[in-house]
Order: sequence, then C-alpha cells, then structure tokens
Amino acid sequence: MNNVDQTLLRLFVSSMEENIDLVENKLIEMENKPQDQELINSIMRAFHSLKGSSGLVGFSSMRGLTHEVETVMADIRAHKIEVTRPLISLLLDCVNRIKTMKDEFLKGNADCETSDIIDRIQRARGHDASIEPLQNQDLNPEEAKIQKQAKSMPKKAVPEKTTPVVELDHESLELYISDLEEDIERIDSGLLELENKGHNLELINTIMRAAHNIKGSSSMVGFASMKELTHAVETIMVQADNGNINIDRALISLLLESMDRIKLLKEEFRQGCVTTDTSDILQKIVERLRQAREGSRKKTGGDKGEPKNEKQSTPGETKQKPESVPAIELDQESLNLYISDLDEDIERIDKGLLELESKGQSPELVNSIMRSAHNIKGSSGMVGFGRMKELTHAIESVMVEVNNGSVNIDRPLISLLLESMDSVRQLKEEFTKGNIQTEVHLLIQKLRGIKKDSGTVVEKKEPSEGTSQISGSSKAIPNQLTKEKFENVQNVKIRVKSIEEMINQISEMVICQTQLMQINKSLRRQYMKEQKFKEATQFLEIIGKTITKLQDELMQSRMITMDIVFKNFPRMVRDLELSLQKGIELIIENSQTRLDKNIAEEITNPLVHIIRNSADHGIELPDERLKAGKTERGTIRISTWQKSEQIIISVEDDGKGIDEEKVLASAVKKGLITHEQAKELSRQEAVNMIFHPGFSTADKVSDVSGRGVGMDVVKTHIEKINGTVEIETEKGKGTKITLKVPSTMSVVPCIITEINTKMLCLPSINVNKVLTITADDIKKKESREIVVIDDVAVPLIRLHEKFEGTPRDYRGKYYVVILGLVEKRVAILVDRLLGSQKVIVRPLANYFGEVHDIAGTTILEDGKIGFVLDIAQIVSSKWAV
Amino acid sequence: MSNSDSRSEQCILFRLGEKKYGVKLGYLEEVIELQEIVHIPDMPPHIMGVTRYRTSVIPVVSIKGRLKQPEGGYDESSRIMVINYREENIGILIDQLVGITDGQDGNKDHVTLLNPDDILA
Repeated sequence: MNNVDQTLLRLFVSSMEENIDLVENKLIEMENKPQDQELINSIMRAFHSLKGSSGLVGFSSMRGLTHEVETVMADIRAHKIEVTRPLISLLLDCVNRIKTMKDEFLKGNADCETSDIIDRIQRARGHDASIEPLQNQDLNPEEAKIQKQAKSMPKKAVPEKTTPVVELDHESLELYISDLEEDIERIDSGLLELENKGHNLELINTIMRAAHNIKGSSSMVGFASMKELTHAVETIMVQADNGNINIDRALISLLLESMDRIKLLKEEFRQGCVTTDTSDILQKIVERLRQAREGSRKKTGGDKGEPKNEKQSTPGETKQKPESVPAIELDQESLNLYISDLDEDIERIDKGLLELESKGQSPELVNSIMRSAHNIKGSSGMVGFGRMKELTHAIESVMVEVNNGSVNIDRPLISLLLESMDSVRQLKEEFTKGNIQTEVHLLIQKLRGIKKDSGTVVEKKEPSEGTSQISGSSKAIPNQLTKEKFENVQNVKIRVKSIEEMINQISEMVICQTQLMQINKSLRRQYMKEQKFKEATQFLEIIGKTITKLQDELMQSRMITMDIVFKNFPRMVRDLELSLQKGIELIIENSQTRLDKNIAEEITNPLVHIIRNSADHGIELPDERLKAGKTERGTIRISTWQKSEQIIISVEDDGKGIDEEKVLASAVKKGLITHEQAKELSRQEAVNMIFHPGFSTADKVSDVSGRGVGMDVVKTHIEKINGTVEIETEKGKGTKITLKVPSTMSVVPCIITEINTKMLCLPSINVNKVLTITADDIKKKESREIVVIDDVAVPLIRLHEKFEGTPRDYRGKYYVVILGLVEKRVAILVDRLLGSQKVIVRPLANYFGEVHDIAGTTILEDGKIGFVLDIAQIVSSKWAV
Repeated sequence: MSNSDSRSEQCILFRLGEKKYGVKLGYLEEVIELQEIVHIPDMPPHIMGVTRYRTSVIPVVSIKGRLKQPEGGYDESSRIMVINYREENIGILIDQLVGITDGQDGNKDHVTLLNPDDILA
C-alpha cells in the first residue's frame, strides 16, 4: 500500500509530539538547572528536530517559530542571555503555541499566525522588533468594514463542510484516498523527472493520466476543489503535450506547488473538513495557460463587476497577512479572469524589464511592456481598482517616453520599474484578499519624475484588443472520460498492530519448534530406528521450514522500500539548491531496498540532516567548485544496499570534505575538549567530534543547517535502532557518511559469546570485529582500560565481575569483541565464541525493574537462556565523561 | 495475610520451611520441576535469576526472607510455582508441593493464605 504521505505525516506528528513533551519537561528542569549544558543541548536538539521536520512537511509557520526558539536556545548556550523565570515562561508559551499549531496542522491549517510570539522572542533576545501593529485609521468605510470582518473572523479559518463525505461508505472513501495517493506520488515523481529530462512525452502522459484519474474520482466523490485543481494540472499537461507550453523551472515549481495544495486537500478531505482555498493557485495556472496561448490578447470580461471603491490615501505598507476575504461585489468568475490576466501581464512586464536591462533598448520589448501595462490599467479601471490603475498608468507613461527616446534605459530606471512591479503584485495580492493597503503615490511621483520632457502622457498606441471569450480554464480533455471506476485494487489493508501480533505468535512457534528439534535430537539415539520417530522428525522439519517461510513473509509485509523514505528528498534538494544558490544533483541508487517500517521512520530524520549538511557545508558554491577544478554542479549520491540483515545507506558528496583541523580548533574553542586532548586524537577521532552535542564548524548559522545539532540528531536516532555511522572524508574531495541499520527488529542476528558460563548475545550489526589480545595490549588511559584498534583508543569492558567470574585466557590470549554504535566503539572481553544465531529478543520482565546493560533475553537453539547486551547503554556508560 | 473471603475458592498448598502456605488457584499458572536458574547481575538477593518457562524467560524469586524464614534449603523436592502477577509470570521457589484444598474443607488451621501482592510487591 502506498501510504507514503500518511506515513510521513504520522511520523512527523508523532516525532513532533515526542519532542514537544521532551521540551516541556526539560524546560521545567532548566528552570532549576539553568547552567546545565546537557539540558540546554537536548532542548535545542528537540527544537532543531521540530524545525527540520516542519520544513520537510512544508509547515513553514512552525518552522519559523521553532527556528526562533532554537536561536534563543543558542543564545542561552552561548551565555548571551540569562535563564530567568520570565524567559522560561516565554519558552513554555512557545511550546503551548507549538502544540496549538500542531493541532491546527492536523486539521489542515499550516498557516498559523506566529508574529506575536516571535515578536516576544525577539524582544527577549534583546532585539527590539519594532513591528508596528497594523492600524486601521484612515481607512475608507469599505476597507474598514473588510478589515473588521477579517478581525471578527475567528483566528483559525472556519472549516467549511464542503465535502459530502457522509454519503460515501468508509471503504470507497479509503479506496478513493489510496488511489489518490498513488496518483499523487506518480505526479510528484513525474514532475521532478520532467524537470531533469525536459520535454518527455511519456512522462507528460503519465502525469496527465494521473491528474485525469484524480479529477475523475474526485468528481465522483463530489470533491469539487480537488477536481478543479487537478483539472487545471491536467490542462497544463495537455498543453505541454501539444507543445504549447514550455516545461521550465517556473512551470515545474507551479505544478509542485499545486501538488502541495492537492496533498493538503487530500488530508483535509480525509479528516472530513476541507478548508484550503485553491483560487490563488488556480489563477496562477490559468495565467500560465493564457500565456501559452500567445497572441490572443484580451481585456477582462469583468463586465458586471461592481467596482470596489478605494481611495488613494491609506497608510501603512505592512506586509500583513490578512485573513482571506473574497472581494465581494465581483462575481468570482470575472474576478478570476481579471486576476489571471493581471498575473499574465505582470509576468510579461517583469520578464521584459529584466531582458531590457540585459539587452538594452529594444523597441519590441518596450512595446510589449507598454502593452501589458496598458492592459492592466484598462482592466483595473473596469473593476474599479483605482490604485492599480494609476500605478500602471504611470508605468505605461514611462514606457511611452522610453519608446519616444526621451528617456534612457538605465539601471536605476529598471530598478524603479521593478520596484513598481513589486507594488503591483502586492496590490494584486491585497485585492484578492479584499484588503488593499499598499501605498503607491510616492512611487507614482517617482515615475513621473523620470520624464524629462514634462509633456503629458500620450497614449499613442492602442494595443490591439482581443475579444474576451475565454472560459474559466478548461477545454482540453473531453469530459466523456470522467467515468472512472474504482478498480484494480488487489490489496487488503491490515493494521500494523495485527501484523505485530502475528509476528509475536510466530516467534512463539519458532521457539517451540527449535525446542522440539532439540528434544528430538536428544531422543534420536534411542529411537533412531523406529519408523514413527522418523516420521515425526520429518514432520517436525517441515513445520520448521513452514514457520520460517511464514516468518519471512510476515516480516516482509512490514517492510517498505527505501524510495518511500527518499521520496521527498529530490524536492528538498531542489529547494536547497535554490535557497543556497548552489547547483546540486541528487542521485539515488537502489531505492528498492526493503526495510522494516519502524526502522525506515527512524532513519528519515537523520538522512534529512545528513543531506542538508552535505548541501550546506559540503558542496561548494559554483565558482568555488570551478576554481577547484570540479564540475559546477555538486553531486550528492545516496546508495543503499542490503547485506544479510543489515541495510547500508551511504550519502556521499563531492564537496569540500570535513576539515579536521577546523573541527578540532572549534571543539577546543567550545570547550568540548582541551587543547592537550585534541593533540592526542587521531584523524578519525577528530572527525568524529562532529557528533558531539553542540558542535559546529559553520562560520555562521544558516537557515539550512548549522549550530551543530544536526549530527547529534543523527546520532540519537541511529542509536535508538542500534545502528552505526561511519564518516569518511577527504579534504577537497568530499565526504561519505555510511549508516548501517538493521533491516528489522523482530529478529536480531547475534554473535553468541560466553562469559562465565552465561550466554551473552551481541547483535551482529554492532560487531565490528573479533580478535585476540594479550594482557600487554591492554593500556591505561585516564584510569580507564583501553585497547587501540585501527589507531583509535577503544575502552575495554570486562563483564566478568558483573557475572561473578574472571576472564578466561588461552595461553595468555583473550578474546575481545569490538562493538560499534553510531561512531563509538568498545571492546568487550569474552571467554568463548559460540557462533551466530538469529534470536528473538524478549524484554526482561517488568518485575525486575531497570536492569543495566541487558536489553532482553532469548532462548537459544540449545535451549539455554541468552542475554542480549544493551549496546547503547554499555557504550554510553563507558564513554560517559 | 489470611483472607477470609477465600473459603469458596480452591488453593494450592505448599510448604516453605516448616510452615504450610496457600495461594488461590486463580493466581496459579503451573508448578514445574526445579530447573536451571540463570543468575542475573545486580539484583536484590531474593531474586534468584531467570528460568525458562514454555517459550518465555521468567524471573524466579525466593520468598523465604519475606516470610521471616531462613533462606536456602531448597532441594530435589523443591519446585518452581509459576504464578501470575501483574500480567507476568513469576516463578516462586517452594520446598514442597502439598496439594490442593477443596474450598469446602475449611480446614485451614495450619495454612497461611498468601496473596501475591503481599509476597512479591
């Protein structure tokens, strides 16, 4: 089942809740222990995780707020601000807000107002954020009314029960949604591929078909907004198919934006409460379509549009986000038409201006800009949008002067015009929201000031007008295809819980079967010759095989392919490219590797951090790369493969690598280690310092990553699933980070060892190597016993005292198993090695309370009880300073 | 520790030291032979370790200390009485299994009725 979005969302929400709880508790703790660095680190880490995951699911208001809070924590850590009672209260307020926002998000409302609390945060940090609250003095009655309306509206958009969810039975609904998700995914991946491959008919068709599917089924379930939006997407693809629309970055961006909206709609629909407004995005699409139809210029058909009066003198140019209030008097269709024409003309002007700047005077361009400005002026006049009309009139006049040759095109002129266009866009936005505030008369004065020849503005050229006969947006696909059937669903949904229970039951059977085999073995000598015994043995063997198959099959059913984890990465990297202004190519290899769902959820976050780190700190800026003789575009390559029960995932970049000198210098500066300690560290140990909580080499904190909590997060997650992390890096060449995680937690392959007659199981994934040492190999370092493995000091663990015995030696040699967890290693002394087994780990009885160093017990093949070592605990206790 | 309501319910009777005790059958899972008990490090002295019970590994405890009796003295007639306590199986070492009382007998003069909560908590 392709429940990807669901998975991600659930993952997001649950990790969020986890982090919120954690933060809440720790904040309260911090009040008593304001100097506790560990505490501060863990809080910061939690906020950082919140920020990261919010970014991943596109929850930008949450991302913004958590970013601010993280900044406060960084200040606290750097002793820039003091931990006071009011500060803790403020932080707790933030947590409360985050909770509310999370709930809102679940309802499908990701756009939460946070400016008030961010304002408070910034004040607490000593920044006097002088964001003046918006005043509504001097508003004309109309605007005042609208603003009042906006204010009286509840903060959170009132959910409209638009969807007749009720009539559908649950099953068809699920069917609809799961089909939807499949199609959405198909479109998403199609779009990204399209961006890389450019015009590709097959891809276009796939996307078109998927959009068409969604349209059809949405129409059947009466989900109008979904139908409209996918219809629009489909129409674009049809035009692309015909070659009428060029596939460029902007188009892909627009389509991806539409897909985001579609996903939001889907979630809202699932929850039975659709509130998302799609009109803006529809307009953008319509505009783009219009643009494609070159030549057919037309004026708006906003005939019956009752103008919405507004005077020129409204103060304040705040970029406030008012609640969406539809412009009331114009009917929606004419309004859409007006806006979409507007968008088209705006874009044409923008583009023209930029071209003009680079190409210099070009009558053609000037004309095109002039015409577009004229268009806007005309239609704005018709809908009674005075401010827009005047501003575009001024722009048009300037262009007329340019055309006459009385005004020269230079940088300042273009800048001023672009600035004017910003205002035009602003006005447009405000108009759609029914709340016009942007001040334009200053701009208009400036524009007028440009004209050297004082003369009046003459509109020499009446741009050719097309007739306005366009209808909404549709024409492409004939509607007879809309009969969609819910079919080809060969899947049955099973609750994960139920699978887990089945796995438990099977585990019981596995244990019984191995014990039966053991008993059978012990009776063999005695009854070997008896026919019945032979038969019993055969059946027992068959049962054994069947159980194994059953177990495999069940475990497979819990597994998902890696591409579900990777699915959001191309988009993320694309966004990173844009925000970091770097060229980054993401290559994903072997995304079909399968692993347990729980494990997949645990590695998503670390991978996000690793990729962000690579993009931000690894890959250089294009010119730096060229200077270094590299390709302009950097590469991040993710590969996965499976090695028995382990999944190995590597993220490799061809960036500048990790500078261990810099790492050490920074670690010393931050007081994480002393100068003397730094000198003793090997290169690998130095690089591993980046896992230290609160470490960062970034010269400045960036929005993408930084502050050094990233690798710490990676560590925390990977530790949880008993994984390891390895860093290989070469200065100037790049960095490769390799994660090794188990593919499942249900069955743990272990190396069985013996310590003082006790069976100790060491998870194979953590077993680095096994070797023999002599007493001389055991060195002392700061009162701890260590052995040196591959140039790295590894603490030695003797469990013998614990198990009431002394290590056994074989002519002066001892067996040592090297265990790794994340980046750390320990060496453990054992008496004997007894081979490997897949074991089913059961936790110790609650009756014991907390038992140190033991994760659980198992029954080994020979019937003996084995203790499974708690690697995380043993490693952390040995490494604790 | 004795419980007067229990008259109607059957009990398992066992000996620890010189005294006889009873536990309501409702708590009893099974009485098994004494078998290998694997010691667990860092545990209070009354926790003897773990043992295998069917497909699971359960704790084994000695309650002699609890009952103010000298520890030890378990031999070949000792058994492990597996009882259900807070949804887990726990093995209790007993010196000898005596039998089962019929609720009607009412002859519990020499039997102290034990409640798992009193001996295990």
